[in-house]
Amino acid sequence: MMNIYTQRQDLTAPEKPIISISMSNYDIIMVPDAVLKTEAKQVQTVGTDIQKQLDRMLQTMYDAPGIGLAANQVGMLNRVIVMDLADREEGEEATPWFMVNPEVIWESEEMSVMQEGCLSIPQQFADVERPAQVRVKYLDYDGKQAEMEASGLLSHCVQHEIDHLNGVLFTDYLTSLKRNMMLKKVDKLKKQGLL
Amino acid sequence: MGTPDFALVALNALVEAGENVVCVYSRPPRPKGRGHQVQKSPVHDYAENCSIPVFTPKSLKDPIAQAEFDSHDLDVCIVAAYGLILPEAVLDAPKHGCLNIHGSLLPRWRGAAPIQYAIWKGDAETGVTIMQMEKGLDTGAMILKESVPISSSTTAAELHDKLAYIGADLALEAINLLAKNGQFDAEKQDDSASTYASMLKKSDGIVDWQASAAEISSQVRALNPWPGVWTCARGKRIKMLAVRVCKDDVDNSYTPGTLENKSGLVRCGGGSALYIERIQPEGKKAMDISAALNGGYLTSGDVLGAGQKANQ
Repeated sequence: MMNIYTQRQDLTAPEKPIISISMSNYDIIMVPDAVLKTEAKQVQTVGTDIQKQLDRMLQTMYDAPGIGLAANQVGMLNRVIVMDLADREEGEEATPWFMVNPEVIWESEEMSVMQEGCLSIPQQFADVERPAQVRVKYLDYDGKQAEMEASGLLSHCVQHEIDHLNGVLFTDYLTSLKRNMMLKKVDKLKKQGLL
Repeated sequence: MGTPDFALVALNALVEAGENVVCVYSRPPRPKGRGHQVQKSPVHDYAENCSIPVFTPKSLKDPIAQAEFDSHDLDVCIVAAYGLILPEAVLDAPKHGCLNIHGSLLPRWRGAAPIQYAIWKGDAETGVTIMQMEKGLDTGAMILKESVPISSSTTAAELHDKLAYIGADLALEAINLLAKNGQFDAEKQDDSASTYASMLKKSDGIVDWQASAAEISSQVRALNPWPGVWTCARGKRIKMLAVRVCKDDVDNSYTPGTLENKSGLVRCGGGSALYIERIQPEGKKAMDISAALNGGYLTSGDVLGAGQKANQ
């Protein structure tokens, strides 16, 4: 996949999507890119621009396909994530989550290990240990304060996406040996033109 | 329902007052301390000594655990620092629901570390709230409240103990109210005034010498013993156990973090300064500032926090 943001030095959050055609998909940014290592800024108000961003991010995620996407991954540095765990290939109904300024307010002491992957680190997977359950507060699609409780895959997913907003990737939890191996593999795939 | 010492004080008060404590729920025993021996929680241990039946389900999401809880046929359930999520099936099982003892004046400092945050963020007072639990985290309607002042020397450990005792008193009072009136008058929380005290992380303990002396003092008092507050000197980590704000006027021509003289005066942000009173150097015992200076762990002229790695 072509990546128009790779060379970009300026990391301030664009007010409006750079691509202006309505509801075209964003390009997903891949490692290595500074935008994935940068902390995203709080959203002040959830207006139509944020809602448009949410819609477009969801569409981008569906087409990728993936189960979660954070703003950093499409080159925007505001605290916005979308998720949908439904298995659409199996005909399950879409159950999208839209979250603005998500924040973990409680995590269980019990831990859980699950295999994770990431649209920004394509085709690479590894086991990651995280708190088994979390409670997250966030603003929903309409900008209303909301709270969710997650366990299992949803818990891993929401923590993974919030990590993105903090400039953290799941590979940061791995040994440098494993991390570098994954980065090299992605590099190879890029060179072979498979991405 | 409860697990640590904070909950133990309340359970003890209920038992001593002769309330009919039908059963106790606590986190399952887990490895702890030196040698990682499996240890029961303080609440678990105490309840067993009082011959109260103890239940330690791993999760209350499990329908079997829920059915078991329902079978106790409770009037009311008191929850303090239990550590598990209570699903609605559990919240609704007792006749009068579940009451929570929370260590702050709600809606301020909902969440896991209310005591620490109240000190850290410089609040003038905090307290205990008894609330009717509902699905959201610490969002339930409030039944009783009592406040305590926070002074410029209050530490998290002191405040924790004080609030535990107030919490125990209020829990008893709430039960007496229920016995008298058969119900609770509860006041809804103002969600727009809510703040959240999310779990403390190790990185919360890094000193930012650009902050004012008062802010750093609050941080030291709030975050000891865990996660601890630390800075770096000569490439080694130094834990700061006690500091005192310097009240005299100081000029701000020094770099924040500069240790200035033999009494342990350190420059902070905005022209303020504080005295370090007690520290613990990496791999050493805790010591007073005079011992640290004599021992060469700190020297006048050091710039603390310089070269600190951000991600430690």
